[in-house]
Amino acid sequence: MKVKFNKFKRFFLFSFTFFLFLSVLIPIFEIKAQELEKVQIDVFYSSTCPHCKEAKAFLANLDQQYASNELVINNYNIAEKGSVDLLKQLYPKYNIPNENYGLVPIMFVADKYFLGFNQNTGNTIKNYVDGLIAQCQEVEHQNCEHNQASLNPEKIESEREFNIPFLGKIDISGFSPLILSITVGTLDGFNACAMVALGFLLAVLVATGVRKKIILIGGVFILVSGLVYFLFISAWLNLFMFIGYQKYFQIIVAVIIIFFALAVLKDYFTGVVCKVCNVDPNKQDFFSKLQRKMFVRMSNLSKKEMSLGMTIIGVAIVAAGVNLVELACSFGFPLAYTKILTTYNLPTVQYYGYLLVYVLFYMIDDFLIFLVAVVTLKITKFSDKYLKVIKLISGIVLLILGLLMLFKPELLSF
Amino acid sequence: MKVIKIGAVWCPGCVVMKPRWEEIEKELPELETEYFDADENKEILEKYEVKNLPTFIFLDKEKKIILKRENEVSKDELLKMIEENKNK
Repeated sequence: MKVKFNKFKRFFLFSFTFFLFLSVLIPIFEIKAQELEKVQIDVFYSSTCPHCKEAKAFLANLDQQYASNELVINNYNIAEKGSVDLLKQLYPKYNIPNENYGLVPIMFVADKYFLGFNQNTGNTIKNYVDGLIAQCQEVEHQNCEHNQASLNPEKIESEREFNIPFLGKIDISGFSPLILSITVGTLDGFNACAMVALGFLLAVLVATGVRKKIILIGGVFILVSGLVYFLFISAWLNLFMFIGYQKYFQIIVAVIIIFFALAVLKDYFTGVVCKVCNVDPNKQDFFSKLQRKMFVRMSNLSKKEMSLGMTIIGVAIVAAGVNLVELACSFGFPLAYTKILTTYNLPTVQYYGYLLVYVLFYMIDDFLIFLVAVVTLKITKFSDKYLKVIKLISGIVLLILGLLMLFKPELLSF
Repeated sequence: MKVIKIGAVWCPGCVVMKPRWEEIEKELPELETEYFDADENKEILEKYEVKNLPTFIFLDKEKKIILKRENEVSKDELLKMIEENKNK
């Protein structure tokens, strides 16, 4: 009985595997056989770009308008290595200029390619596909591909120029992620609120008059501050990469940025340079209490005599805590920056490289204050006048970014 | 005239002002000053309606407030204020 059962099981398993094999293979053969007769569209997209989403929706709709043996659409996510390899092979074949490498969405149909997407691109693709299918129906299938190849190559550049009142036309195609990281990082950093903790610590340290202490405690503080900020913006970046492009999510982000920009501008017009720099001693809210506690700890750091290891650990813990509180100072810029950065569709390592550049420039003012303190044993402060001007510029830049993200998101997609 | 200085360990402006006052007190040994820590002397905060730290209050001989300054003040400005009110 037992032997029989095993035989039955083996037979069943064999049949099951065989049919499974067939069920996978047969459609593949069928597709291969049919694909030769179909018009193919290879679309390369990224999950974080708004135009890709529009292009994919358009193509899915287009797909439904034709019979299954007329049109096939192949989707390639450029986050996958296989897709990138294929795309690299297609660039020279279609004579695509170097400066357009890496831009998505890009669609290849017969001997044309379409870069970027808007309603016009959609109409052009549809007309082109209509023409191809009509030709295929008129002539023999074997001549169909030849006819496709004989069409004149044509391309559509994505619109990367826009008009700004008074400033004229601006071409943003050359706006590299490096320039973005440097400018936004610097603007974000020159903010009195983000400098107050370091300023306080250095003042306490300078009062001791011991240069070694300033270098050690101040240095560790700056290093940990940079690290905390790096982790903070990495978290934003990962969130945006994970979510990809979602229209409603983008609207929420844009509204938060606009809200933050208006708060910055309100501070400017009411003459507030730094809200958290002067704490009302009567205030008993959580934030004020926490801030006071952190500053008392910082003050103690310079007074206590501890071993080198304990000093470093102590400073690192306090620095991490203080910086978590200070994250509230700069909320708008990291949000806008990481959201725009995800549209460049870069390899992961490069993203983190740019985040590093951003943090370095974010901290450039801290390095300057630190250096002056170490060299002169004196405290320098950026004059309120400059900080106010930077506040105005920051508010305006954030407002423009927020409004563009809300009404013209395509201009912020690279 | 007497100067009341109100500050706290956690207040950034107080750390900046501390050495400035130390210099002034050294230069003007006849100047009478008194320091109050805001966390330990809540009654002082209420009495002088202190909303920001550091706060410096100049009192005349009858302990009446002549002037009140908040936040960071330059050394020169302080010296000028002292000079103008020293006989009050």
